[in-house]
Amino acid sequence: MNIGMYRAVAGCIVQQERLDAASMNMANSSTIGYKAIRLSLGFNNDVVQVDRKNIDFTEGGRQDTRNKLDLALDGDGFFVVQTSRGPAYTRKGNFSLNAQGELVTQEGMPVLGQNGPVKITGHDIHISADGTIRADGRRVDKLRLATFRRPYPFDTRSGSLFFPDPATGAQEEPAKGAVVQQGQIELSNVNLMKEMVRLIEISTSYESCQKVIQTVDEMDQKIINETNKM
Amino acid sequence: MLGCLSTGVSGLSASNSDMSIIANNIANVNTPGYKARRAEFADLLSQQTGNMEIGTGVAISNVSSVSSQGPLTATSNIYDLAIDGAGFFVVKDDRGLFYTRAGQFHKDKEGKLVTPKGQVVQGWMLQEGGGMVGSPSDIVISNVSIPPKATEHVTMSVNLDSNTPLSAGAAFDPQDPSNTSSYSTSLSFFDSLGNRHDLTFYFRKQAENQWEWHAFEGGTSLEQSGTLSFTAEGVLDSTTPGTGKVTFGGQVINVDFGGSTQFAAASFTTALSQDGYEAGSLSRISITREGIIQGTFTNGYSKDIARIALADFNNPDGLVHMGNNLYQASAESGQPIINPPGAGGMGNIAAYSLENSNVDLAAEFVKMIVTQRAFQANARTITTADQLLAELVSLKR
Repeated sequence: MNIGMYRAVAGCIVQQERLDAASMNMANSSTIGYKAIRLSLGFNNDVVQVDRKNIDFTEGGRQDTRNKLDLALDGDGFFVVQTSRGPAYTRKGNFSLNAQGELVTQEGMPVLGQNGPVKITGHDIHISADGTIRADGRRVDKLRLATFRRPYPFDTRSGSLFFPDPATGAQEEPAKGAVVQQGQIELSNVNLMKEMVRLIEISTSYESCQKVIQTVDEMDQKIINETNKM
Repeated sequence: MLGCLSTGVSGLSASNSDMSIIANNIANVNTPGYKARRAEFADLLSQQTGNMEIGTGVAISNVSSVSSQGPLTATSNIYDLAIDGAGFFVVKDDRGLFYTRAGQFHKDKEGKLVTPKGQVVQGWMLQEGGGMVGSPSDIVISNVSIPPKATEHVTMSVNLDSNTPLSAGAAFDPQDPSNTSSYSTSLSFFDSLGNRHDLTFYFRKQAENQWEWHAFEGGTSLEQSGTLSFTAEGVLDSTTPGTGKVTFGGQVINVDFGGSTQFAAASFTTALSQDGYEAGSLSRISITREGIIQGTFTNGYSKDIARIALADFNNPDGLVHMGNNLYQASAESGQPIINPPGAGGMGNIAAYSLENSNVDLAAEFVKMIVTQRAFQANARTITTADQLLAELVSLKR
């Protein structure tokens, strides 16, 4: 069979994967601290394929909320939260307190301070730029703000809760450049306009690949049918 | 291929839920004590492991309350109470305890302080002396009165004119007190039933630096008397009897002439006081910033009646919404921490005020626009996926 057909099928598969990523990004255009997924395409034996899936760590916009437990990070860094699979890193800072007074994410995962989960007792909560937490004027704890050497060793399973890939062996470092902004959240960095353009692109590319498949198919049919008549 | 369809659907349903939350916020823009709610989005983790896997959409992980202070607005009802700061009012009905920040209270027919739905506001009934005893109970404002108190002490300071000539011979005549004395002063006192009586003292100069007094109740002599002696400087030196005492029926009144003088100036009274009062009924209520309900009584006295209790939680977001502005404690919120207003980090109480909804209309409208666009965008990913599928199906004619 014609190699062109295989190339066109590979093109269709790539466009499907691009659509998966675009739909994930568009679904999360309102998710706080969400980072868009980008695909980088390449060739393998003259066949197109998705080389890598990357997370775009561009900072999202800021929104003022009046919540004292909403935190945004300026600059390179992540909040560290405790999960069943070890520490995870996030910039989604819409935290709250649980019944025990622990600072937790909206999914209930404890946010880590210098010595394990942060526990806050007190009403007037003030969190300074370096992550120091004061309640009623008393120092309670300091947020653990971490980062990694670039490129970040995170897998792409989530766009807001990042797990380092153990295979890279990367070690967390203190985030010296990060500045905590209390009463703000970092919006999703998905650009809906770009994603819409991407959708059109995907649609037309897919259609083109489809046409190639059809054309190759017609050619093959012609060969089969007309050779038969001879 | 089908994966991105369900990703789009997850986006549609999350946007849809977000829109209902926004609608609910806008609907409650004038509900006292309402706290705006916010949908917290979370991306869905891919269930498969591997470097090339991406997530499978979005979900609303939680709906949290934006617990900022709502603006206070003035009303004309004393029992409209607003909390300025942290805490919730504690209210009770047959089903148990509830918590609310909507302080639209009123007195019911039994004098209980209740919400519009009849739940009774909890607090401490203040005993005589003002102590808060035991755990909070229903606040009842009825049958509050002040019993009368019989006068026990009278203080009286007078200046008796040192230039008064000595009374020529004639002794004090109880039948004609005003003509046989040179100065008189009177005050009201109360018996054990709260009846008001007039007590009049007549002063008569006996000798140089020495005066005698005679006590009268109304126009009748109590046939009780004593003397005041002054020093050469005109300061009170001694009195007989040692402590002035007037008895009226069975009631004993101690009279203190401390501070009396004998200077060369027309006689006058410098101070008069007594410690009894008549019975008082409640005439006016006031509520302090510390949540103390004070009554002012017809006899001019005031008394603390009750103190409102406030509750706070480690995680107020974890409270369960029960409708009618009520919340209920849950395992997620933690146990209520009960304190009086202004103590233990609790806010203060403002009477004649209601806490308005903290919904910011402008912000809600912007959220509405963003949510609508997100909905459209997700719908578009679904139609695109559908187009791709249609192409795929049409491959084989």
